[in-house]
Amino acid sequence: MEYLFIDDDADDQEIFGMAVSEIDASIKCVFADDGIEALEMLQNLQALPSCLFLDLNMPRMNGTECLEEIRKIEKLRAIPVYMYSTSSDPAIMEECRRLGATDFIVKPPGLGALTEILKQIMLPN
Amino acid sequence: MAGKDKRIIDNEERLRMAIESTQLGTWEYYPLSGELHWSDECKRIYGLAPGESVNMDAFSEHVFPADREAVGAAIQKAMDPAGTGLYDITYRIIRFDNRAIRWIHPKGKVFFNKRQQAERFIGTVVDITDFKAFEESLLESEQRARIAVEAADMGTFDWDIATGTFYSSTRLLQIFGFSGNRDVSHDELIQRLHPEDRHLRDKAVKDSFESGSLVYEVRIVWPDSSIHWIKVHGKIMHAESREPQRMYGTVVDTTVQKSEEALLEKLVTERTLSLLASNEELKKSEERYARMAEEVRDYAILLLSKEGHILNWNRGAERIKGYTESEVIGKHFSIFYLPDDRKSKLPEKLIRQAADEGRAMHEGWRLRKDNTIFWGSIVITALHDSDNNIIGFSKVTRDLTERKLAEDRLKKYTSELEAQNKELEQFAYIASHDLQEPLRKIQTFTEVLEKNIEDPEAAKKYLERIKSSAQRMSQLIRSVLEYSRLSNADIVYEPVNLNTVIENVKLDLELLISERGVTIEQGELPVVRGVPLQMQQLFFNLVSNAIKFSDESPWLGISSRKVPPAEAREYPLLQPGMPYVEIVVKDKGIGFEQKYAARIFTIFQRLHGHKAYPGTGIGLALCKKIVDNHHGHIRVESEPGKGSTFYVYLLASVK
Repeated sequence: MEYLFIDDDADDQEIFGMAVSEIDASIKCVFADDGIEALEMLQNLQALPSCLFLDLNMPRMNGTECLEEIRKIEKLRAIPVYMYSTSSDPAIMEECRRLGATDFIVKPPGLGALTEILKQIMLPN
Repeated sequence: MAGKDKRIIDNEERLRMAIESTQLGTWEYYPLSGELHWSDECKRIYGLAPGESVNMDAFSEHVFPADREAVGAAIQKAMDPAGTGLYDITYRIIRFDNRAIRWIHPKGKVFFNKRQQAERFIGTVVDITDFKAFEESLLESEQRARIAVEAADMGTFDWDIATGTFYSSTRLLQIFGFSGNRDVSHDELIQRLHPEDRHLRDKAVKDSFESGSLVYEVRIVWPDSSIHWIKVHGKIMHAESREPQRMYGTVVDTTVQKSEEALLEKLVTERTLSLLASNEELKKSEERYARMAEEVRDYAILLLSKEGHILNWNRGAERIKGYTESEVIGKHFSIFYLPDDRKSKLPEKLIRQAADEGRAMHEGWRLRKDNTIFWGSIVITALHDSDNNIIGFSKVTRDLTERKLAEDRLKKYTSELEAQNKELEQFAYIASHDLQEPLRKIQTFTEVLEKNIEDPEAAKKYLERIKSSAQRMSQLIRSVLEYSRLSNADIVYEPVNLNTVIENVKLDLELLISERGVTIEQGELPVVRGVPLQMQQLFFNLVSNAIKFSDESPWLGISSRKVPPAEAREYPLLQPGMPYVEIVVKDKGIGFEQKYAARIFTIFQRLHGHKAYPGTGIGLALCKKIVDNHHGHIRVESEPGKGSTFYVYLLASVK
């Protein structure tokens, strides 16, 4: 089990890491600061992660641009991508679904809430 | 062949005989060669034997001298290529044989060749002397009859002036209204004259003693009081002593004639009066109309010829377009159109449309005499005569400049409002998004802090994180406020010296500049029109931005130049025709890819991570807002690793 979390905000990376540890300390998380770094990592990783969490608002390459690139790469086409953002703009959510996002997670206010959401995705049973 | 020829000859012979039996002469004249041929019957009329030849001289000589001029004119008229070529005249000739004078009636036609020359002149002639004589005798007998009838209606008198004896014919007495066969004295007759007219008779009689002849027309009153008109003619006979001795003459009743005359006169007078009245009415209505059109001041009303030349001009036209009547009459109405419209043939198109469809309407900018422009609403209407031919156009123009400007202002306000609304929407969305971020972190770290409240090390760490998120939030709120205040700012421009502005910016950033070892190369900067505080904010952000995104020993270049008008026109937001300056702020920092150039001016958009380059993401959005407020333009050229160059266009201050 391995997850890739892509967000330029160091605090968010830390919060995400804490939430995942709450679920299962053995789950491995890798972090990327923006879309370009994420794409490089995906090209170089031995094994593909189970799924991606992708922030929207990032420098260099933002979430939607990164999503588009991911869907262009044959071996990444089937990988689930969860958009992860403060934004709850329906237009952006719709755009992300159109570009092939699996789902859209609005960053919740609090660690407990985030843990609950991630548990649904990581431990479906 | 021979049979056919024979038949033709037979036919011609028959025709000749037919003509001769009518005593109709025929003649042919070839003006180009002068040849003249007369038929035998024609020669007979002129008293010539069938074998004798004629020519034009002989012809002319035998025209009766008094008729020569008329005959010459008739021939000339017939031979005029512009005329009908017909010849039809009656005149007298002098016969060749006995020099008797005869009346003839020739008729003819001239044939012209391709060069419009009279080539052949042929016709017929008939002797009409007998007919003329009959006609004259008829006229004479008619005249004689008329004289007889008139004579029968006349009264006669014979007055022996010396003795006073007055003889009146029976008819005269009837005319005067006396019945029976009694003697009537001269005085009795005079008594019957209308009192108002008696002086006319007295004067006429007195004059006649001098001139020898009497003529007057007066009214007489019959015993039954009916009024009759009489006309008296008389002739004086003088004695040897030259004294008037006798007068005799005639009296005619002219009552019927007079009443007809009077009736006619009355009718003519009435008709004339009614014509005068309707004429007056027409004139008045025309005048009213002309005056109305002339006096109208809010509309230019003009008449155009079929070709579009100005025929008349009213006050409104003078007021709206600035030309006086004498300056403009006869000019083509295209002088009111802008050069571009003239080039695209707009005036001609409108005239054609009015001719084709009866009416043409148009709104657009038009030219006054002083070359200023106005927004005209134009209606051109075709004018027709009774046969529906176009005789010209009427053109009514209203000056709707005020309305047009108001509309344009309204449009501008509306689009400004729409843009502001859109911006506000975006702003509200992004602001709430970015403001939620630190808030969410505060909530999350508070939760984590609660869990680790027993561990002082960890508690301290999360409290620190909460504090920095709160600080960031307050910073965001401040910049959002700053940005939104900018939107509502009342713009009062004043000259702002950018050299002073940069000096102030350097003072504000003194600490940072010395800490980071910043070099600023600065040329002489212009004075611009702007809001001093906003200029300060603009350059503070540009300079601090350049320093922030430079890795070590930042270098900045600030320079300026005047913007040529042609270049200024490439930026649609700049005000046309105004002087602009370009301020260039250049750094040798980390730069970015040119494709992100537009994004960096959007609020809360960051190209670089928080970690390395902290910031609110408002700085450059603020710069753009300020430049927009100043009717300027800002753009950036950048290359990763080489640095960025910001170009700012601002209104130059004009002394």
